[in-house]
Amino acid sequence: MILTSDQVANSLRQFKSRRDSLLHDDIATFEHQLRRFLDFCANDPLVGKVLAPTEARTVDPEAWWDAASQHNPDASFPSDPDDELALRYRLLQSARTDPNRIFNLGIAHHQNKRDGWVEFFRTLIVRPFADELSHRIGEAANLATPEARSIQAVPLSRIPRANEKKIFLSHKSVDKPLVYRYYHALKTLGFDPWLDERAMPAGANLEREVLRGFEESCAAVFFITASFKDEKYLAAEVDYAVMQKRQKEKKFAIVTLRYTNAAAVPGLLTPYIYKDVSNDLEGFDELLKALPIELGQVRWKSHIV
Amino acid sequence: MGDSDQADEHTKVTFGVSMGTDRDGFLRRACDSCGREFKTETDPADLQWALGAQCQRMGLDVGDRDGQSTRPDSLTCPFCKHEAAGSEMHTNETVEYLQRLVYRDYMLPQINQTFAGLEETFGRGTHGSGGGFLSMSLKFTHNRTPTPPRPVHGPEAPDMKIVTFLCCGKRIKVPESFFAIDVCVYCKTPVLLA
Repeated sequence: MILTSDQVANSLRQFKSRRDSLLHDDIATFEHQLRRFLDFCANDPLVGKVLAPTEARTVDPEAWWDAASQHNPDASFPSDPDDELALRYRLLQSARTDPNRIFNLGIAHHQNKRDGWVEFFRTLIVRPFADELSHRIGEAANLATPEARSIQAVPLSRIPRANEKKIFLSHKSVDKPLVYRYYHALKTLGFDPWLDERAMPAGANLEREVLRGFEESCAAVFFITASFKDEKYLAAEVDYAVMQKRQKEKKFAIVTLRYTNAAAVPGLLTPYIYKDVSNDLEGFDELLKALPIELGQVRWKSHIV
Repeated sequence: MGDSDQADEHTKVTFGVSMGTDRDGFLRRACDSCGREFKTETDPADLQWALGAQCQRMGLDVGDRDGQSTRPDSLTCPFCKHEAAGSEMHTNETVEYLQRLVYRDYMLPQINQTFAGLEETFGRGTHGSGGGFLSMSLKFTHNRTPTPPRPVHGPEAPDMKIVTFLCCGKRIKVPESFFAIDVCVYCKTPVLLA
């Protein structure tokens, strides 16, 4: 029988309540609490799972009562923990059917009042049984329930606004195929890359839109290939990037990926992150490490669950 | 060593507290305002303060006079935003466990010792007067209160989901269906569940 998490939690809650009542409630109600506790143990599915193996154990509660209640009492228990648990359980059951056993045990151990013999019985029999059973039930509960899921609580200060998390991909037109590969990979991961022709509406003022693209970005990536030249639009983009870096400081990264046999890195970019890369994968790895933003926890895709 | 130090030595009681945490090491808590339950990772300093708080409620003078332990941080309830010391946000089960422990290991021995002393005092010599109009005798007997069994704490269900606060790196557990956390339980930083 497979138990749900709620059933397991409910079993544990009730077990603890019955156990603590048996151990600590008013002595006048002890027999009543013993009945409640044993009834619960007999009927609860989780406790039943734990106690079921004890039924096969060969222990002799009658012999124990006789030895423990005689003039020179012997109240020892089996050394095997499973046998001990089984014996204690049966002692509780027999004490339920014949409460005089508790009295006889107490008298044999010099307890001459009801308070004394009940507390003695609780300490000698009930408490060790409850402690061991608690431990085993806890283990069974762990096995019966799935591992806890984990989510993150992100400080609002660490969540970028929509207009500050773009990644500006600066490149020469001839390098479009290379930059598209980065664009698609970033998009697939969940980033928001900015690429001039995709981000600009028809008829938009190029200079203004490029500047706006920078203002809404947290990083500018410069692809330095053999065809890169620090002139015209590219030179302006280098200037914009440096300007953004000054304004946003740690919240803006200038990432320069220099491919093999590429032109020299423009002087303005050299103080910032600048890596020689031999292929796209290497370049992408460097880019992810250099970005000031990161993605969240792993989760199942929406169409899977 | 001065007299007060000697007295401290005589009254110093060390408690062996064994708290039941769940599989992931979390202790169940209950907000002392709204009563709803969540869990935090256990902190020995916090348990020390929790035990101290229970002792004080029972009229006992406690305190770490060495000043070695620092008071644990306060907690903010993830449900109602009520803020209280960590030692105030324990479940009834935990509070009862601590109270039983203090009663069994400290108060009861003190009571038995006190009454045993009285019994000895009144049992020694004659405590009656027969020389005047009034004649009285006083007899005091004390039946030693039997020691109850040690309380058991736990087991703790491995329920609830883990929430990691990226502001301070600490973790709590809240019910699976609860998503309305907007402030860190430990440092009160505004947060958003990701």
